[in-house]
Amino acid sequence: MLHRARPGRGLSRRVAGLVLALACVCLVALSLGPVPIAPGRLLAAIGNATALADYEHAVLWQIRLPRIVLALAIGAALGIAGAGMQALLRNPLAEPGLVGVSSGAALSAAAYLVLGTGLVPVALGLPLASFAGAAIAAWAVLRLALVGGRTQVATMLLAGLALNAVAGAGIGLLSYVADDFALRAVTLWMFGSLARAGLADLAVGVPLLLIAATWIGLRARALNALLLGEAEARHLGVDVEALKRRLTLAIVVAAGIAVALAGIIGFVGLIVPHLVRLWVGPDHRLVLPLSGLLGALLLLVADTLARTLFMPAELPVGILTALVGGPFFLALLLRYRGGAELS
Amino acid sequence: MTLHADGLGYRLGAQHLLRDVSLSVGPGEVHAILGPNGAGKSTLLNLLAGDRRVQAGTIAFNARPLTDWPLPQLATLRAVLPQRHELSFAFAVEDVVAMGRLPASASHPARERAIVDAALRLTATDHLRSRPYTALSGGERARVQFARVLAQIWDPPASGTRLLLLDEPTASLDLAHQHHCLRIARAFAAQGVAVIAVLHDPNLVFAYADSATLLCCGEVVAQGVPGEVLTAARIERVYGIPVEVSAEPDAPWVRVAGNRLDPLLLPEALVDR
Repeated sequence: MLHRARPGRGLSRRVAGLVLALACVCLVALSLGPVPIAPGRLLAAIGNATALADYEHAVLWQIRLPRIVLALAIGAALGIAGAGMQALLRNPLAEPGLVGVSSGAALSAAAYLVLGTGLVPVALGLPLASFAGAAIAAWAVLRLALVGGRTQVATMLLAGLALNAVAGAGIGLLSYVADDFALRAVTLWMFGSLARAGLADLAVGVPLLLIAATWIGLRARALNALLLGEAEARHLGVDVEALKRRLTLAIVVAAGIAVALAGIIGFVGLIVPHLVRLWVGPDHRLVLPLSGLLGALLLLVADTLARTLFMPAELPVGILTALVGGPFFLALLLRYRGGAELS
Repeated sequence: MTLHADGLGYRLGAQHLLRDVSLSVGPGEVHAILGPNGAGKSTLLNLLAGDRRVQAGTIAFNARPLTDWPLPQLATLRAVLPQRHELSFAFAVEDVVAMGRLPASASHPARERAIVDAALRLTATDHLRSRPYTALSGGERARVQFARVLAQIWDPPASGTRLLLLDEPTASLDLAHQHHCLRIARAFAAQGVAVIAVLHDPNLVFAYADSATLLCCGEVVAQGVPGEVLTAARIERVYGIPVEVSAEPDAPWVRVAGNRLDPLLLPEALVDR
């Protein structure tokens, strides 16, 4: 693998490349759908709003643009949260979805939808419930995997497996007591989809996602130091305990809010940082911003495919990411098998 | 005194890992800690580094209790080379060394690069600079980590004296690099840095240390000038191996007595019949 001579150099070039790609995909995503609007007409409408019909404006502003914003925010947050979690545990196999944080959030969200919608308005209650579920799951998994002061990754993955199973069963149980409306919401929760969130959900959720992602994104040097080892990071002046606590909180916010907005979208946090590391090496000053951009790009592509492949029917985007991510995770497991990383 | 530890004790359950260990190191001094496996050398170094909470006794760094130092400020004055290196991500070698500059991130980029380059050259790892760390041999990794630690306290501080804590810095190095490593430590000491190093080889201690602490079973057996600490009788008693110590006062050396030790008797079951 080639490594650039200086970290930082090449960041702006790569960011520019990804932003350009993002812009192109955004344009395509805006133009595709049951009401097709050619990209050329979209560009023409930038200078002249009358170039589009009223119903086309409505489709763009009320349906497609919010959904694109959602895809970008969730993709970026999951990509960065995945990279952050891998640094926190100094292991490339960590991801909020794999270790059960996302399904904890989903179970809690489902419980709220079935039992609690009368108590708190949905735009507030759903993110709160998801966050609480994610926090409890993260605490439980990290606690279970902590053996003698070190996080054992094999134990963590097993605990995540158990948590995923319990959450799945819990959601199944909830679906028995749910009414028709809640049932549909709950069963769909296990397969992430960007179709559900309304504008009010976005207004609460997207800023939270961006805050969590930005917070992690600004800790690149400390996360690099953390990869040296916790004692080494402390010797370099990093308050390791505080960093770990806050990093965990940011990851829980990102994963929990993502679930509140869209349900479980697995593997983005695993695949994206890996691709970025293969591309530019492990330096977080590059990995974090590029993971955010690539996460946004990949989720937008996946969501555009999910809603246009079988038009007018729509595929939950979580199924697409799992279809790609499952084999990817297996390949990673095989690659690290036998290495010390899993012990 | 740069570092002054007084009456340190540490226990794990009922077992005393360290008992009443005191130690003082001043600017420009190279102090060696040695003793048999399990004597408590690494425990002592961990305590001095602040990695473990002191259970008994006190540690003062630059005349201020170690625990009172804010971590970022401490990191500009003190660097620690651990015995084992955990890093398993494929950073380029020069990026690993540059991590040592984290505490000084405010200074000028060109100056930062110059320090990293100088640390790479000093440890003879310059030719490895763009190689992935994970592709290096154990000895090369140790030298790169040494370079990182040196880069961390490269600049003389505005106030206070610097301290270098080295846990078995020569463990995975070849003969030449063992000496090179300790010559670097001496050169830093000549710049006013206090150095504490865990070492196993008494000859290296004779050659490079100003003072030494001999530990056994968590207690100080002897402390002072290497020539007085490492007598033949004491080494024999602590390590259980017969040695001769040369009588040359300027350049003493130790060797295991006799040209060859008696062959070890293997347990019966292992002997080929």
